[in-house]
Amino acid sequence: MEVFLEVTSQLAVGFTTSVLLFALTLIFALPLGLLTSFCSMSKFAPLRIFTKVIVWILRGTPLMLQIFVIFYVPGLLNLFNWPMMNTGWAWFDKTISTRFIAALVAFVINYAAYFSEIFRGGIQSIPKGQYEAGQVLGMTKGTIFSKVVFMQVIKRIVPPMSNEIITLIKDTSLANTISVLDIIFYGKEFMLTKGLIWPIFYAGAFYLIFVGILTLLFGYIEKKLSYYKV
Amino acid sequence: MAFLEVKNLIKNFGDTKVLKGVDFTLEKGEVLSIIGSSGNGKTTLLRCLNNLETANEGEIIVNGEIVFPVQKTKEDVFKPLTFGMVFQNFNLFPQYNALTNVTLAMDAKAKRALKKQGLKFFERKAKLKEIKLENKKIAEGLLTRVGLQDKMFNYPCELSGGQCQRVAIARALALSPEILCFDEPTSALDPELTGEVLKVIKKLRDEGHTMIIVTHEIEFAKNVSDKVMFMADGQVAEIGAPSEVLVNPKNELTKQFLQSFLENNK
Repeated sequence: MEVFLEVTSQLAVGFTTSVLLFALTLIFALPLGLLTSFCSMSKFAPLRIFTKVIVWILRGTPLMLQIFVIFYVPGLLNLFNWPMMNTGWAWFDKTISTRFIAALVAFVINYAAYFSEIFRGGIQSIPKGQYEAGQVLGMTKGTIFSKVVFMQVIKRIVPPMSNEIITLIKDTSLANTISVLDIIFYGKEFMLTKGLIWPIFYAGAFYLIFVGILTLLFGYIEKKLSYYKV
Repeated sequence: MAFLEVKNLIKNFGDTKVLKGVDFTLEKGEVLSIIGSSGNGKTTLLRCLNNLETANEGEIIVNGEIVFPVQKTKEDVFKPLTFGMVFQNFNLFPQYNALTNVTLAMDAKAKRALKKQGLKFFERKAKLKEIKLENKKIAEGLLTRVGLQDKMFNYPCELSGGQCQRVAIARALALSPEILCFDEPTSALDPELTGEVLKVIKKLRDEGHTMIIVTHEIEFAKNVSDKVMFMADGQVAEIGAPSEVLVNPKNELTKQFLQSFLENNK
């Protein structure tokens, strides 16, 4: 029982890091994805092609590889070394460390690429008539997007977004490849130091419950948005 | 000088010439119906007037002022709109109820106007709140005028086609455009629902609105318009009083069109 409590508390600490990585990735990657989607629809061909190539690379290579690139390449180029950097904030440096930031950067960039394609699909699926209706009413382009189009885009992209967001919480486990102390890292620790195998399976339950909550949340959002049809 | 003057309007889509020099005039308070078979540029003409398409050549003059080709000047947010448009398939904003569909553009315009006045943030917010309340009253009045006082809080998906089109008319009226355009306003409706929309348009005529209506309802065009224009092959084939164009057409194409129309409606 004592062991169970100890494992639970350790895994909970690790899972906090996972959830933090998850939440921060969403906060940064969603707006960045929207911005990227605008770039990929730009009328200015060089910007559009550049963006498409970047998205292709980010979606075309493993996320783990991208994490390694972000984490090791600055050191190899003698620019800076992630683990050597200090935020000066003792608690942060000790428990979360700048490795976490390296992982965060990789996640944000990678997920922004995926989100941008979801946004693009959503935006392009809005009928032209909606823009025209706004235009003949004298609305500016900005107003048309924010007041007319965007709400409809949100409704359309909830299902693909929920898919991607559910994948994200599980993908955070890739961060332990650069020793970010996430839940899988602690699970492996129990295996290596105490010979216990069950904590790593127990860790799976944390993900499962979290995804359950997310699923309910997205179901709720979909229901909330069902008052109109697009 | 006429209220609306369209001079030699030309529009090409690639190699396809859709408008081949359209000329006509319209006086204030007059209703112009445009008839003709599909693909003869009726809708394109309306879209050019509303600046949804940019004509290749020609001039549009409203009230002595050239509205096309436009000089790039700063937008005058205090000016009423020149043209309003009612679409064939309504294009209502699905996420807003009928009332908000009508107020949305008014509120957006008020917001822009307030920004230009250079008020402080909180003053602006307070003022905007006041204007929004007024706009709501205006919108309620407009929806009552089109007979939808009981449907103000319904969403477009809860309304019938005819009701949607009436909301769209109220929405187009919200910014009090000088000329209101209708692009086949009843074509997407079930036959039993066209009456309610046509009734509203008739009422607007009686109130003295200047309107341009692209329509396939010949009977309606006869009753409601001061002028009827028959378009063929991207040009004005015949224009004049409905009693002339629809009863005693001079143009061969108009005769054919009306003939086939009568046969189809036997």
